Amino acid sequence: MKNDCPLTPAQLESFGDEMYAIHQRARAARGAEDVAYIRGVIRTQLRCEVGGRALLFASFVPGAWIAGTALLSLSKILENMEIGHNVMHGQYDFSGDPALSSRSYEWDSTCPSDQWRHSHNYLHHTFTNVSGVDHDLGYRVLRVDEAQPWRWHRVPQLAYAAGLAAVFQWGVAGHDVDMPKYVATPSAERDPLDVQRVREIKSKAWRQVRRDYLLFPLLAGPNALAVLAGNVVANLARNVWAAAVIYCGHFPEQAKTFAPETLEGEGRGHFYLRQLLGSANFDGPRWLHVLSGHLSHQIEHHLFPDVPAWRYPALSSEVCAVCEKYGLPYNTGSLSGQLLSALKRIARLSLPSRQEPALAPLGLHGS
Amino acid sequence: MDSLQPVIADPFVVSLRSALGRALGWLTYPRKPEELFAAFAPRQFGPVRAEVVALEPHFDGCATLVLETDRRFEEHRAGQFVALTLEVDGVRRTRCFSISSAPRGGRGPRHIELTIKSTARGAVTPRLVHPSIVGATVELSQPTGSFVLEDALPPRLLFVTGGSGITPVVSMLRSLDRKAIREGGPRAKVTLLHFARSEREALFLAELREMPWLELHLVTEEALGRAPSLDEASLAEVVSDFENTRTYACGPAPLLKAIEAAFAARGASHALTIERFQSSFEPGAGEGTGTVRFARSNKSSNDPRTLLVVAEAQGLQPKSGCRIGICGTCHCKKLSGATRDLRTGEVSTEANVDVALCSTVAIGDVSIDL
Repeated sequence: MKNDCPLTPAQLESFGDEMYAIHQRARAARGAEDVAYIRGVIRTQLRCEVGGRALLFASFVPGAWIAGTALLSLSKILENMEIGHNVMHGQYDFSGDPALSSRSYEWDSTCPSDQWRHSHNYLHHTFTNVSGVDHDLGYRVLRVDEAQPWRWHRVPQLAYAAGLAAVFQWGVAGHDVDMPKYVATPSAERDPLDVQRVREIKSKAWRQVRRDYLLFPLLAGPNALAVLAGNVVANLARNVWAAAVIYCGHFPEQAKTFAPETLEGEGRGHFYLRQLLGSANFDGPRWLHVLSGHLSHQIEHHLFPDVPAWRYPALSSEVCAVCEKYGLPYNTGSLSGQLLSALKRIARLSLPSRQEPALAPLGLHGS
Repeated sequence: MDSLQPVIADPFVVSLRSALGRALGWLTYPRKPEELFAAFAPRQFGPVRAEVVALEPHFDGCATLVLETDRRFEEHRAGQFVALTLEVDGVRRTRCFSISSAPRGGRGPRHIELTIKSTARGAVTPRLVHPSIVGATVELSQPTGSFVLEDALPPRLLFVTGGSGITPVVSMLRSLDRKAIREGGPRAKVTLLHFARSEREALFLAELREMPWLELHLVTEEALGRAPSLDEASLAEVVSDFENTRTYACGPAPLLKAIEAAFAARGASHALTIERFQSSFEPGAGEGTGTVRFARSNKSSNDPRTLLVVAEAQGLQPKSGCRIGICGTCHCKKLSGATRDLRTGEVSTEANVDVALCSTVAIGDVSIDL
């Protein structure tokens, strides 16, 4: 198989050392500012949530429904992206604050935090873009990689991508279990671990449904329908936004996928290189970075997942400099450009591939 | 005093309140209602806080901190301690300190005093005794500990203290002093045997000398010309029948060991109450030199490898993922001891903090919640 490693073994080693040095410096710099930052975001998020729900209750006042729904959407986006995702990565564990602990944080998503930590922190971040191992490559729904076999049911997959975006948190919830397989298996033959996981998902989902679609609407009395609609729209908005950000992270055309052999004896340099080549950034104003949970810096996030995410913009210049030095690509663009590129890839792969799967095994140069 | 009678709660009210609390939790899920309240009204909810309003130095590295606590802080009993939490560079650090002021004996109704001697390379105490601490906000636990005087005062009392071990005892002496003034004379014969490095480092000396009812014996290394020691005979020189005297002791470990031995020799261990300060870890011991204990499974090992490998070698199955310090799956609580994080080289001596098992090694004895 063709070997795609763009670096010689010596280059690969010094590239790994340089990335590691940036990583170490960033870890050592964690401190009071990071804790103050995330607490500030949490305060803002709680204000948005309380304010949004209060405005929805007053939705007989003109404009209040729109403002309330917008605030509640903003709250849910902040909680999922900048707070939940990043806290659960352990970015703030150094503080020893139980409210910021990756082990105990529970987010407002139908996906139980424990399952997320397994499917995302472990599987996705360790085996990023490795075909057949990282299920974030298409979420078992989309074909985003030539190595995935084409079937007729792939043809309308652009529509699947849109549908998945609308119910994204439910897709994430079913991610760790392999829902399609689970549903197809007779209940007696199901893995007991999966059965337990599905039970947890149901319990977690019920809590969100009870709060957003039952209790708050009922408490609103005559305003029940308006409150219900506000909650539906806020959850939808958060789903679509999260999906868009995440499609931009690994699906744009230049983001590479890798053969499973890549993982054999993978060293530090390989690891950083795979994370770099498999991820994509997008630019934008500061608020856009915050709303994306700084996943606009997906490259830095994959290189340094335990570094507080709001530090990524400052780290990107160092990462760029190293990439330039080694002649490596640093994939970035506008949000719309990256999203369009990701959708083009999904559209292209809805049809059978003309060429051979171009998986980069990324092995040692010359091997 | 009728108002202090415990209120017997109506079972209906109790169940109504817990049902309301549960329903509130359904609305605030996934956050707990308390978290939400604490975010909007930190003075009424969340941890008890105190502001450092003054710092009074005694000698190098030792000072008394005057704290103004918030309304939720409960009154302490003389001899009790608090756990104080300070954020140092964004990291929460908790240490226990005896309260040195008497109950209701602070500068104001909500003031307490902590007398703190710093450890040279400590992460917390050097900051606490530095003038820049004034104005800082710290978190406090409620006062706790059973090193307290009994309500009924015995006819004779003996206190044996060493160094900063006098801090809980001075709170007791101050409260006895207030009582003596109120009642026009002490009801008990009270003796204090205090060990210090020098007269200058003997804490509260001037104040103790002002207590006419107190028989004070000060032993200093400076005056002796050697490290003082304590045994059955030397203790008997201070109080000949100490075995019949209600005794409280607090100080360094060798002193406590000596006094325990003296009381045991006379078969009077029941008359002695001691308060141990948790000895703080001094870096210096090498990696892999101690015993790793897995507290919940009651296993231990001297294996010097990473905690994850050691745990697995012991047949435990902690959760783990990437095994290279990236994913956080193996994070687990360290109950005590010192560890080094191989990713950063940082040494952690904190109790009750999370460590990444896959990239952490023990330095000396370590206990893990596994």
